[in-house]
Amino acid sequence: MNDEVIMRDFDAFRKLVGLDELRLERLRVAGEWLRPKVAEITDTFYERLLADPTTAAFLDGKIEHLKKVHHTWIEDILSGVYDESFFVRQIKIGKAHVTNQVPPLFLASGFSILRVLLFDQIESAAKLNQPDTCPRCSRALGRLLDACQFLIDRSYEQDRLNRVSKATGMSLPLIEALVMLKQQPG
Amino acid sequence: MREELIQSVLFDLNGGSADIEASAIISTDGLTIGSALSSTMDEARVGAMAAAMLSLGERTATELARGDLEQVMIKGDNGYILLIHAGPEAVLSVIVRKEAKLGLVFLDASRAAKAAAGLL
Repeated sequence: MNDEVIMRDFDAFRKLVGLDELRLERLRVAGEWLRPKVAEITDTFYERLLADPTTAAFLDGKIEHLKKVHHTWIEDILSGVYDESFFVRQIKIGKAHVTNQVPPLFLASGFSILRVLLFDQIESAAKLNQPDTCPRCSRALGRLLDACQFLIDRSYEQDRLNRVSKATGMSLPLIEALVMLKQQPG
Repeated sequence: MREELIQSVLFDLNGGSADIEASAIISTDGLTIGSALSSTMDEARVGAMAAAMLSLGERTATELARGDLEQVMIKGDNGYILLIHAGPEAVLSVIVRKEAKLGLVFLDASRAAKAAAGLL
């Protein structure tokens, strides 16, 4: 599974979840007033992760660097520019997570925490009747985060296939052929 | 043309011994190049499994310092499956009855594998 295949699958995913121009426009609106809160969101995000001893142990000694990377990523998420290079960057982020051996559980938990933090911000803004608050921004943001997670997850899947290939000597097309075999009853 | 020649190698192999039930030439990626299988056998399944077994056999032989792989033989209650390289990019898979005289089968299969390799 190369990047081209990932992007093809991703296009299908994007259509299925309805991440279309209307939703992306809502994201641009949300991004406008969420961007000043990125530092706060990043700090809270890592506070939550550090509250758990397992993730805290994994993050030990890396926090300051990771905060900078995370800050840049959230700014990218809220940038309002969602062209192909944006989604290709998500694939690269996935590869970096695999290289740094971030457990998939941490990644999924991180996405979950981030969704809650961002949705809370949108909800608070709506309660305060802030101008430009878009009531459907949360849904659009949720779709975008799902799309990013989809792309990042594929890197983990690719890594597992590469490991099987290396261990068994089977080529990736052969492993794919085995995966695609029709299931037999029993 | 090449396809027909490969097919004829398989028909000759199957026809030359009553012990051989079916055979196929498969790429190392698991795609069928030619086959003379019974109607109950799924070509895609046979292909993928044979290529997988050969890859595993090769890797195991290397890991355990047994040198280059010559063949993989699987024995079941109902007979044998023999896998032999047919050149560097293909596998000859031969499905054999349980009462078979294996010496003869090995000989015929090796010749067929060489013939098929020459055509690929």
